[in-house]
Formats: sequence, C-alpha cells, structure tokens
Amino acid sequence: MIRHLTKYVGKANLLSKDGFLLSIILPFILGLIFLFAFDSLLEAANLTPAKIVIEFKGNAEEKKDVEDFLKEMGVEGRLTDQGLEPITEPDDEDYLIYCFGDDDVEALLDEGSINAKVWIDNTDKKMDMEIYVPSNKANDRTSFMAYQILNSYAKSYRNLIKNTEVLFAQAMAGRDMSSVEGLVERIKDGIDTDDIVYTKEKEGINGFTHFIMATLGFVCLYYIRVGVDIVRRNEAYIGALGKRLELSPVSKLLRVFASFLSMGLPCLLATYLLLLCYWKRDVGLSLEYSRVILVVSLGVLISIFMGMAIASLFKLSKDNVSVVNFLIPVLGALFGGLMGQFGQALSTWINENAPLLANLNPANLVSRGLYQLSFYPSYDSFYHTIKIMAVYLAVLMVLTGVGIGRVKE
Amino acid sequence: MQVLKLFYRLILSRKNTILVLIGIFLLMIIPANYVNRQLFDVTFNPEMNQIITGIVNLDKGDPISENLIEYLGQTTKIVEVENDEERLVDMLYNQKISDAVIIPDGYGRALIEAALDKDRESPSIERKRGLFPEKSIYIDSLLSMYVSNFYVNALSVDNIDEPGRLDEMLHAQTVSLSDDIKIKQSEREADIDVLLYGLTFSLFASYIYYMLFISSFGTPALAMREKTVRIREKMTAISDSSRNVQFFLGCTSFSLIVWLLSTLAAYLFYDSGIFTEEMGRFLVLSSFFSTFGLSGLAFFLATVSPNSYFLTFCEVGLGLFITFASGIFTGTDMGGIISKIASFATPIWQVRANLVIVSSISLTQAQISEISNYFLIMLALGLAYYAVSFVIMRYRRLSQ
Repeated sequence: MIRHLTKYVGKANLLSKDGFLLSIILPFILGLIFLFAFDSLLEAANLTPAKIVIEFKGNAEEKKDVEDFLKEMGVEGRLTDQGLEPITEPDDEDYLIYCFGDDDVEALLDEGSINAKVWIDNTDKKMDMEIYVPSNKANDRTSFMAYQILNSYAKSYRNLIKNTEVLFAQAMAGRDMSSVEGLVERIKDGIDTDDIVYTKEKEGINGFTHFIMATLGFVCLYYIRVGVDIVRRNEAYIGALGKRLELSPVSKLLRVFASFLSMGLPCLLATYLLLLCYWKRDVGLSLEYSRVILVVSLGVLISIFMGMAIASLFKLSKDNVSVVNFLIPVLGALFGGLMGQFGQALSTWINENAPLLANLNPANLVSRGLYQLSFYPSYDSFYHTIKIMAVYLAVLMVLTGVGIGRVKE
Repeated sequence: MQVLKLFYRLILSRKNTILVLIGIFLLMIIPANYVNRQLFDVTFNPEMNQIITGIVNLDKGDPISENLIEYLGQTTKIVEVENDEERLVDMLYNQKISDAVIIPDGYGRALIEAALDKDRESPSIERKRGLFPEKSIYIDSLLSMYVSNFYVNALSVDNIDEPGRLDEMLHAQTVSLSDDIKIKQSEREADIDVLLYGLTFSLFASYIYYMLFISSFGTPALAMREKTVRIREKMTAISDSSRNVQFFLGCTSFSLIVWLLSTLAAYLFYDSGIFTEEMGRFLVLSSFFSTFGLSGLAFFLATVSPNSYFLTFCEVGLGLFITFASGIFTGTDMGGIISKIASFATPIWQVRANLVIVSSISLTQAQISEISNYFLIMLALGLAYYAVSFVIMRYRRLSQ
C-alpha cells in the first residue's frame, strides 16, 4: 500500500498544475545562479590603482629615487578635467596612478576623483612625507593601499640612507665590504612576500569560499516549504488530493510517510545534482564526496522535517504558511552568514553567544560542516556537527510524529 | 474603486507578513548600523585595529621573534594562540582572530643568519588565512616591511655575536619601523549619519521593499486569475482594463506609502541631514527611484507568476540573489559577471548611484550627470516592467 501511495502521490504532484514541482527545481536553479555568480568572485580580488598627486621638494637626483620607486609600483598619469588619467594603461601589478605637480587639487579631492595628495620632501634625502586623504576616501581600501606602499617605501628609504652612512663610516674604519655588496644587491632586487610567508591552504580557496558553503546551506533550508506541503497535502480540508488520500486504508502517519518518500527524495536528488555542478566548477568545496553528501543530505532532511513538524504541530493559516515559507529561509540566510560581511559577523556573534540558536539553523549547520571538511585538520569537529544534526533530525521526526498522531481520525 | 479597496483589504489581511518583514528589517538594521558606525570613519586612520592577529610563537624567548610580534602589535591586536591547528582554524572560523601567523622554532636565528649571508634563503613564516582577503594582504605587507627593514639594518652589523650588538640592531629596527608618514587631517567632513543612511539603511530597506512588494502584489494578482474569481467578476460591471488600472494604482500607491513611511523613519533615526544636505537629498532620490523600479519588477513578477511556489521563490531566493549580487549587504559594487546578472533589477543601480554620491563632498557636473543616468535607468526599468506587465495582461484578456 505504501508503495502504491508513494507512486500515486509522486505522480499526482508531478502532474499537479499548482506548481509543486517548482519547489524542487527552483532551489536547484537558485544554487546554479549563485554558483555562476560566485565563480567570478573566487578569482583573486582585483584592486583598482589608487590615484595620487605628489608635490615634490628636492633636486633632480632626489626626485629620481622617488620616480624609480613609483615606476615599479604603478604608472604615471596626467591631470585632466576628469581627474587623473593614466598615460599608459595600468596592469594587475600596478597599484598607483601618480603625477607630480603643485596644482590645487582640492576640487578633485572633494569630488573623489583622486585618492590622496602627497607632499614629499626629499631634500638631503630625508624623505619626509605627508599624506592627505579626504573624508570621502577615508574608508576606501585603495587609500589604505596607497598609504601602506608609501609608508613602507619611506621607512625603507630612510633606513637604507642611514645604514649607507654607517657602512661608509665602517669602510673608512677598515671593515671588509666584500660580503656587504651581495647583501645590498639582494635588497635592491627586492624581497618577495612569497619568499617570506607560505600557506598550506588549497589554491583558490579564499574568503568567498565561505559564501559557497553558506549558499548550499541556504538551498538546503529552502526545502522547508516541501516539508510544510507534505503535511498540508495530507489534510482533507486543504484540497482534493488530501481528501482522496484520506480514503486510503492506512493511518495518517503512513500516508505522510509515503508523501515524504515521493516528495522528499526528489529534493535530495536535486541537491546531489547541484553538488555535482559545484564540484565540476571546483569552487573550493571539499572533494570528500561521501562526507559532503552526508552533511548536505542531513541539511535537506532537517529542513523538510522542520517544515513537517511546524505544519503538523500548528494549524497554519494561509498567511502564516507564507510567513513560514519565507521567514525561515530568510532568517537562515541572515544568521547563516550569506548576507555579506555584516551577515558573517552576525553569524559569528550567534555562534559565540547563542550556540543553541546557531545549532537550530540548518543553513548554519550545513555551512559549518562543509567548512570543517575543507579547513580542519581532523574530522573531530565535523563529526561533532554531524552528531548535532542527527540528534536534531531525530527530534524533528519525533515532533512530526507527535503532531500527526495527536489528531484522531 | 472596488478593486483598489479590495487590494488594500488583502494587504491588511496579511499583517503577519508585514510585521515579520518589519521585524527582519530591524534585526538587520540595528546591528548593521552599530557595526558600520564604527567602520565608516570620516577621518583617515591607516591603523587597522579591527584586525586581530593570532600568533603561534614556536620561537619563544628569541629576541627577534619577540621584536616581530611587538611590531605586529603596533597596528593590529595580538592574541597568543596555542599550537593546535584544530583550535586555530576554529578561532579563524569564529572570527576570534582575523588571521594567523605561525612563527616556527628557530625563526629569529634563521632570519639574522639569512640577513648576514646572501647565500642563505629567507626563513618562511606559516600563515593561515581568515575570511577576509584584505586583512591577509595587510598582515603580509607588515611582515614584508619588517623583513626588508631587518635586512637593511643588518647591513651595518659586522659581528652579531658581539655582546649587545643584536639589541642595538633591534633597537634600530624598532626606530626605523616606528616613523610613519604624517597624515594631514581633512577639514571638511562628510556627515556620518547621511553615510549610514545611504550605505546601510536605504540599501537594506530596498531588500525589504522587494519582499514586501512581491508578497503584497502577488496575492491579489494570483487571486484575480482564479477561475471562480473571474466568473464572479464577469457578472459585475468592472471591465478588465478598469480592474488592471485599479490594481496598478493600488500597487504604485502602496509602494509610495511604504517608501514615504520608511523615509520618515530614516529622518527620525538619522536626523535632518538626509534632507538638508546635498548628499542626503541625492540619496533620498536614489532610494525613491530604486523603490519605483522594485515596485515595477514586483508587479511584473506578480503578473507572470503561475503559482504561489514561483512567487515564494521570487520573494526569497531571487530576492536574496538580487540583493547579494547588487552589493547591498556590503555597500560595494561587486563587479564582474555577478553584477551583470543583477542589472535587471534596480538595487545594483541604486548601489552604484549611492557610491558616486558618497564619494564626493561637493558633486561636480560630471558626477551629477552620472548619477542622473543611474536614476534614469532605474526609472526606465520600473516603467518597462509596468509596460510589459500591461502587455501581458492585455494579451491574456485577448486570448481568453
């Protein structure tokens, strides 16, 4: 009978004109849109060059030192009515567009056409620098970058000049300079950051990987609607299907179970298909297939049973069904870290200060489990998350059973 | 005006949805406002004190490694972490630390040896990246600056084993790294309340407007297409075009009321700057055009929506995607393919317009013209969605 009911409910929903099939297909499409969109974000974040105007004090030789450095770090520009335009097109390795001049650039600063004005006094190679960043560019990351580059250069330059003087004095005092020459050459060549730091992390994994995991968590949570529908479609007062199912010679619990098999399993299949697309695009998702499938399956089942528990325990009006259908996924996304950096901060705050609330959010559990698989050195934390999910699922199943069983037929 | 009245009665019957949306908005705006007030500095401050560097020091007691940690502590907050990778990753995930620096055993000794012998390679520091790439780049640049200055300071050291020589060199290192370039402070500052309105309140409000409009326009639109409703309607004197016009009036007037009420709330929340300052007035206009465009999009989606499943998808899934891809949650233009996809809705144009508006203390003619273009795009999108919806409605009437 169960087999017959499963087939019957499945067919009825598949052919239904009310669009139930969409509740399975649309999360899959949404997951694909996010994947497509994140693909470009996962590439290294490109910084646009900072635009600076430099007022210089010093002779030609002192100016050449600064020019040489600036040529390494960016491209020269010229002031036009539109602001500071580069003479040659900057590439990915150019961090600055600069020009020398003592023009009044206050208007350009006010309108945000340039990031900063810099005063450099290199008289007697003292390399005094002053920078002015207008308030409208105070939070711009390119302004921070320009400051950091110039600050680093000024420090190294002054330090090198000071040490050159010391070396000269040492040479006069009879120090053998043969070993120093090689060291100076090495400093002139510059020290690459890649030579002094290393990471074990996989190439291509960055801060945006977290959003991929949060997206999968959100897609899982979206299936809460299917859970609500599984129960409501078995209610005789909701529609014709419910009336027909009520006539079948099995208990309501078994009818709901049959509906779960016919409506819940396609959700799992759609999610697996989505996972396949994520793996194919290599967006930083762990390649431990079985564990990823485990955590995502639990996420989908928790969401479905959450919907079933809510629909069976509370008599929902049409308005409240719509509230449940949009409120829980939106809150899940908000607390699950999908809503930008602010959302991540909120999600972290909840993880820290309200762990119970964090553990109640399937989107959060899924993204946490996926993160643990990708970044943690052992499986301890991952299995801890899996245990929480398993217990959570069991509780929701019991609640659904209680909710369905309390109505006498 | 029967349909118009019915439209508002239906909206009032969905008061739970409206209350929940207001609740979500407050849940978002209160913490975001608090966080962004700390972040939106109107004076330039290059010290990124919000960065917490987790240090695993396996070279304890070495003066060079201690000197390096002291230097990192000057511009970031330092937290000493035990050497447990699991714990370290956990702290990064929970943002207790922004980034981690693992100083290996013998690092200090290896660094001075490399600085004194050109044939030795620089020792490496292991890094663990956090969730924010810009913070990782900042710490990398600090490490790079430390090592390059260390090499320069080592040039004048002829015998490191001489007593006190290393201390002397580390002192010189500290001095050379402490002298930052001067910062001239801005005399004219932007109003932080206006910035918060433009980059937080009005953008988050657009997300809520979208969900509210979809849910409010969708229910009557679906109901009007129900067979029983249509049969009953045939028996009344209301023509199809009159019904559609009234529905349109209901949707636009409701959008206007919602926008006016929320702008009034913003006025009470953020003071009068949003109306008295040029920047504020442009931001309010930007919000108006974006809301108009969103109401048009919601009207269109409600018109084409075949059932409530599709409507919920548009409300939740598509809404989240549009707002995320538009950069509403981050207040930035994400660029690339993601923003191209999101260009069919107004939030991305609102974000772009707002970014131009807040980037300038006094707007130039070129900027005003750029902002006007964005406003026109939003207006055109709204009109286009309404126009297409009317075409669909007419086609449906003719085909029936």
